Amino acid sequence: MTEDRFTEKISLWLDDQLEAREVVELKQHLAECATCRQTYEGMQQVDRLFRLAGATLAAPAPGFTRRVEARLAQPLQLWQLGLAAVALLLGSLFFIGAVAFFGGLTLVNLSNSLLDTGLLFQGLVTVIDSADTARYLWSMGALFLRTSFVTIQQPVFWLGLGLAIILTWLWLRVMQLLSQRATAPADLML
Amino acid sequence: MQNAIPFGQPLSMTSVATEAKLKPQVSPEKQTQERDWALAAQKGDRAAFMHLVDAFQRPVYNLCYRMLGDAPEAEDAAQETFLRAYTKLDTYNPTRKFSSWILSIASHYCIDRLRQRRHQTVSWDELPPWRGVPALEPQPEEAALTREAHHAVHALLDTLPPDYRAATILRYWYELSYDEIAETLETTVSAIKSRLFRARQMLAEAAQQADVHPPASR
Repeated sequence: MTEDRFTEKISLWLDDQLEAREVVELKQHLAECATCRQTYEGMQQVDRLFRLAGATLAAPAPGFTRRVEARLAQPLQLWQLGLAAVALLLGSLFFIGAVAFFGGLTLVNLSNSLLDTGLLFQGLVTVIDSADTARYLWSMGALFLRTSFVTIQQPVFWLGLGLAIILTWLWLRVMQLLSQRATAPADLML
Repeated sequence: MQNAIPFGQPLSMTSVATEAKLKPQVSPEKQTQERDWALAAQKGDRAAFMHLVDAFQRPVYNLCYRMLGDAPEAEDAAQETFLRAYTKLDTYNPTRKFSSWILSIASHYCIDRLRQRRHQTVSWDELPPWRGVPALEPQPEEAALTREAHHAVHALLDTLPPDYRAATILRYWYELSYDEIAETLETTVSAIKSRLFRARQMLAEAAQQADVHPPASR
């Protein structure tokens, strides 16, 4: 409708967005159309009221900067989140490792693998009885290597490790979202 | 209509700014300093960021207050705006005015809060009493509007949907151009033209219903 076209132009006129010829055209229409003239008067009244109101900015209560600084400084430093992540990772690995170890023992017994339960305990006894420190350490190292070799052959170990990594990542993201702040910009950008 | 001005003479922004010089203009030097603070804050200088909080607390708070209509809620929203800005500093583009960027964060946050409130546009009769009054810093010269008139303005703003309200506030309180408002609200210029037009229509209808008029010219 023609009236809609002109009423939209009233809003643009109030913001000095019309060209000179458009202003002339609009004024001519307002002189002839009572409806648009009424619309103009209403918008113009509101425009004046809001321009006067817009001259004043509301201010926060004193101490605003201090309050923002206090919120920035508050919780969860990076080291605390790191410590929580390490604890979660170690705990997850310990649990998965235990499951893998006992699962590995079961598989060993079934498949007559390198690491036999009896050999494991015999090895431990030998290490504990040995008076030679160097051989003690070497034997312990060999024992752990053999245990690890069997453990890492178990698919459940890798599944557990992946799960632990995912859980740690989720933990850090949750802490980031809960705090919604960081000690320095770009922290915790995972 | 009472206090009507002949339709050949709409007020310009210049004449209103002369009428009530309550908002200081930001000099280019000041803008450069603010940009330097932002760049320093991006590198981890928290003191520089606190300078920015000092410089922009009033514009940010004002926007939150005009959007949310409640002083305590505006305080919380303003604080949250700065916290979000702090965590998103790496996304700030130094070629853009910091004021535009921070007001963008404030606008979107307030729009989201209003939508969470499930705030519906209300008629004049349904409006609740005004909640909390912030400091409107009395000026040496006579205030352009009385407190009651400010309340009326807020009541009119309450009748607008969040998107329309944000565009209206940015236009009248910050004197942003259509391009700047579009950049702040992350939309197009034609969308801003449409929102301002529809907002003025709605405000005019609400003002007529409530018989609200601007004060007489002196």
